[in-house]
Amino acid sequence: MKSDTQLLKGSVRLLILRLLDREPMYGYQMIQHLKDRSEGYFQLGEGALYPLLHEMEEHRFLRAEWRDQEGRPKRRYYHLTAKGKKELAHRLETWQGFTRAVDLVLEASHV
Amino acid sequence: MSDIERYLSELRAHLTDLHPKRADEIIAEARTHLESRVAQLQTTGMSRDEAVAEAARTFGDPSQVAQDLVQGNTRHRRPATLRALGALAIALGAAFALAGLYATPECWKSPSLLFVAHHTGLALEPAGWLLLLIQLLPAAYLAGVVGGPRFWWLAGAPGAFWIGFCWTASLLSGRLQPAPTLSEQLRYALIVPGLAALVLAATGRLGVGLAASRSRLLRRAAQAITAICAAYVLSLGLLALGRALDSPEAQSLGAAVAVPVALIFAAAARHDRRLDPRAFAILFAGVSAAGILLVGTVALFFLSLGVSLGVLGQHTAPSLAVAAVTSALGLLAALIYWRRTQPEPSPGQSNLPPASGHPG
Repeated sequence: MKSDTQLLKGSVRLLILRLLDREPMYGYQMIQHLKDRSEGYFQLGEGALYPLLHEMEEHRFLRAEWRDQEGRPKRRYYHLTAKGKKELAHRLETWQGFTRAVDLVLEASHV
Repeated sequence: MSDIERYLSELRAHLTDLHPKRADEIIAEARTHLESRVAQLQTTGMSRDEAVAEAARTFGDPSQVAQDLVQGNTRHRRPATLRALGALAIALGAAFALAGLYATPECWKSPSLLFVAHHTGLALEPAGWLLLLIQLLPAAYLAGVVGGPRFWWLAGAPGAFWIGFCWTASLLSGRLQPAPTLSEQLRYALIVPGLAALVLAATGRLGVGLAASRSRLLRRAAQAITAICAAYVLSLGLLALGRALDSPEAQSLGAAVAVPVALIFAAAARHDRRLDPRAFAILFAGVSAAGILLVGTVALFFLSLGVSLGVLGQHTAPSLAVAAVTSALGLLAALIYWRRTQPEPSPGQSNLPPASGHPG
């Protein structure tokens, strides 16, 4: 099943924050993780990822650093900041409230 | 140049609204991404060429990606006021330099006379306006490149104002026969300067378009034009000073420096992998202004020693004032640009990756 573009756009920031809450990652790695963990559902446009990352970096939700890789070119890793953790908590709460409300409506419609 | 580098070069050409160092960092990040993607695609049996084409396709259209990147990097955008200041500095500097070039010795007795048409001779013959337009075009181009799309109109403003002023002053002073009817007078007073403004501003806009073109050839051509303009305007400044000093040697110097300066700028353009014409244009302004300032300083030094340089005593003060204004504007723009384009300290950022990427 292909993802809905509008739904993906609305939730991609939450997904990125959640991914980075577990470990620092670079852009390409994030795309692979999103694809793998969603069993291919989330296929984020590659060029669209970096503007989002940079925007969140400017809001101080993320911090980036270049890391040396043994025998490979340096990569730009993104970390979640304390402000980013708060943002994640806020977005999670909003998302859970939203999905619970949608579920309630959908369940009520079946009755 | 590999296909990845070609793609990155095109992406870089659309990032001119960002500080050059931020744009370089974005390109470095995109390079590692694309190389990783290409390496992964090659494991599925694709050839290198096919993998590169697929990686570039899935990364997206460079102009659209760049547009999103510029929107996402608000803190790294070049300040609009700085761009406007740079464009105005170049346009005004060129206008002043040309005023100096055309001024007759009588003009130098009072700087205000520079703006009276019959003293400059510009308004006496239609060929003079054409000459002025041709010589202001390089400045308009540079100002357009520095100012960017939003300030494309700024490049033509000082030149058009000057042309309009000269034209009106000529009519009022009776050096030209006024047109017989009011409508014709208005046509000459409004349409001529208006057209001049459009031509100058359009040239500036064309410069912006060339600088951001997808075609590497056109971008290189834009840089070559800039190099030629740099040499041309620098030699104009020196020629103006030579004329003011009534010194054939100074005029010869102006012509002589044109070729090496053009070569230096062309060499710089050749090795400028960032393809950043705005930085290039600002560099031109700084170098040109420094050259004019240097000549002016040397002339003042001889004056302070009481060395007579012919007619220098009569004409040098206003000419050096003009040179100083031009120089100060150019140097100010270059200094502000340099300070604003220093990288912002980032707590976690250690250093940049190497220019060449490898599959990872």
